[in-house]
Amino acid sequence: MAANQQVFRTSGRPEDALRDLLAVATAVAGIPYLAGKNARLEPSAWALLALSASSSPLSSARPTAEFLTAAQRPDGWLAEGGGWPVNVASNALVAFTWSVLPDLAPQPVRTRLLDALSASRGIQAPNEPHAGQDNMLQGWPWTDGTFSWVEPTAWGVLALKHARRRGWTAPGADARIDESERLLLNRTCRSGGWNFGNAVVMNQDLRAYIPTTALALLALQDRTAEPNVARSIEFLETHWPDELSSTATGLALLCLHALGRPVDTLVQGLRRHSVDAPPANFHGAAIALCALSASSRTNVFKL
Amino acid sequence: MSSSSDLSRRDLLRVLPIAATLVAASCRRAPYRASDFARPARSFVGLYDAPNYDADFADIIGRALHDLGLDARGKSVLLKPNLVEFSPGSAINTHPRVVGGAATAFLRAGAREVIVGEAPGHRRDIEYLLGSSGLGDELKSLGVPFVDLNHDDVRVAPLRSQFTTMTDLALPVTLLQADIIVSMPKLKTHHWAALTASMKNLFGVVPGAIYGWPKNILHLHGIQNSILDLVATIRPHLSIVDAVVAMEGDGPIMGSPRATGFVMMGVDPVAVDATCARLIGFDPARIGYIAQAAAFLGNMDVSRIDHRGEQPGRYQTRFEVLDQFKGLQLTSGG
Repeated sequence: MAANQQVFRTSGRPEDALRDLLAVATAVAGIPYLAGKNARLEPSAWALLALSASSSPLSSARPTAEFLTAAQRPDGWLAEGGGWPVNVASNALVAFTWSVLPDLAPQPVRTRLLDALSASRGIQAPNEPHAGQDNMLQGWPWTDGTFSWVEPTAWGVLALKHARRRGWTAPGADARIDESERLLLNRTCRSGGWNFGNAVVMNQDLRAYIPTTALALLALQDRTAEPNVARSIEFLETHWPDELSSTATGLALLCLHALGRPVDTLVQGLRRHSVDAPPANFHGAAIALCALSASSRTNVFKL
Repeated sequence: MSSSSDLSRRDLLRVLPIAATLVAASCRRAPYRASDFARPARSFVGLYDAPNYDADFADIIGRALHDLGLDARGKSVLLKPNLVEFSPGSAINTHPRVVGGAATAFLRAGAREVIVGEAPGHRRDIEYLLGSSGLGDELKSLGVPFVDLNHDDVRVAPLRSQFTTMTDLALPVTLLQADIIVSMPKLKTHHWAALTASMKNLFGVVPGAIYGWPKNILHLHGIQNSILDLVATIRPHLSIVDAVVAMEGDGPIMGSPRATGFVMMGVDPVAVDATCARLIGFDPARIGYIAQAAAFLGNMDVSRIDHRGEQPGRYQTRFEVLDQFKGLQLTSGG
């Protein structure tokens, strides 16, 4: 990926270089995180979302779409490799992608994944005095048998909410969304925004991060009346320049655009960053393209 | 996939390691096969003066490689620094100049290739971490590649000990393919493990794209047990500890910088960590994972450790530690 720096510098617009890069890669197979490595679920899904957002025809990306559908097990989950645990966050991202782009997978395939996602949850723990959070709430874990964390929970909420708007239903799905929203609201940092899990550890307030804050806000974009959401939007608008990267700045742009906030400075910042420091991986490249396309074309994350 | 538990997180963190130990004990079976491990009769630990980050680390580390007799000619070397998080002005990460110095020293020593790799446990945005920490620029100036181990290809590797109940872990291919694995921690206190140095640093090879951020599965299996299984399985060939400016208090993220002025190196990670512990005022025998590692992986006892470079007394100090770790401190100043 680093070899593409000259391409980014000479290209008229960074999104053109990003789109060309992803179009070539998706036409061959699934997409890896890092150039030369094996295809993985997350960058593949992001690449399809990004190409769609940039109005690229997805017909040539069929090998990447097929990589995703071929990864599905009979229980509905998509597995990346034998002997590894299922990555719930990546699966939720694929579920969201298939809901946004239903032509990429047959309806039974999409439904099996949504049903598996809806039935899963992080482990529960009784509350501790002075812990400042409700450990009984269950969102989604990264892997089975572990606690709920912000990123997989945000993806789970986004996927189920989007699919619900497209007509999908399952027993308990509304309750899963509701409880997971409450978990996210319960984990808001004192500053506004979200760390990757707890807001407080051992009586210390944790810092909010830009990517996790943007993802949680995307999941809660229809809950802007909540004080924690309003405070977190303010945090993101103030602090996104503190973490410049394709991922952080791209997610901040997608989020604030979906929320109808002004994003001109973010667009300029991401364009400049994409030229000065081209994405180090396909995942970041796809997020940047998705974000730059959002302001001029389609924001696939707007519910 | 669904599951629930009546235990609190803190209970789980406490109970699971104990449960694992009890299971092992009830089976009357050690969590490792003694014949798989050969603890060295004696271990060398090198201490090298580095009052600040303007020091010539390539020279320091090059001298240490010679002192320790490590032959890197024709080998592929993976340097694994600590790059868990970034906060301006903090002492969270292995300093880029120490990493750059190590890369240069290995290349001068004839290494075929040097790769720097890390799987940060708090952050998954490696572009941000490399840029903000300065490590990206340092490596770029040297032409040394960085591999994001969180997102690398993986291979399932059997664990060589069973202090946890896990039998295997998916580990990065870049790690598994390296001829020489170098653990390059920042010396810090740690609010769960008391101390983080060479052995705890190996948490940062477990890929987040498989196990998440943080690597929650390791916490649920017990941090100390997980450290032991990782060290027994990975067996780093060398440790280079950045203790030029260390961290005391509420480490590994929110503690305070503490100037200590040295770099420590050794091929025995147990001896290195035990020496680190002593130098900052801990009794290594009271830190569970060091004491257990000393039974089969390396040397903790000071009578089995020979020093190269500076003598440890020069750097002896006593770190501020959280209340729960005061009982692990040496009773007198050193």
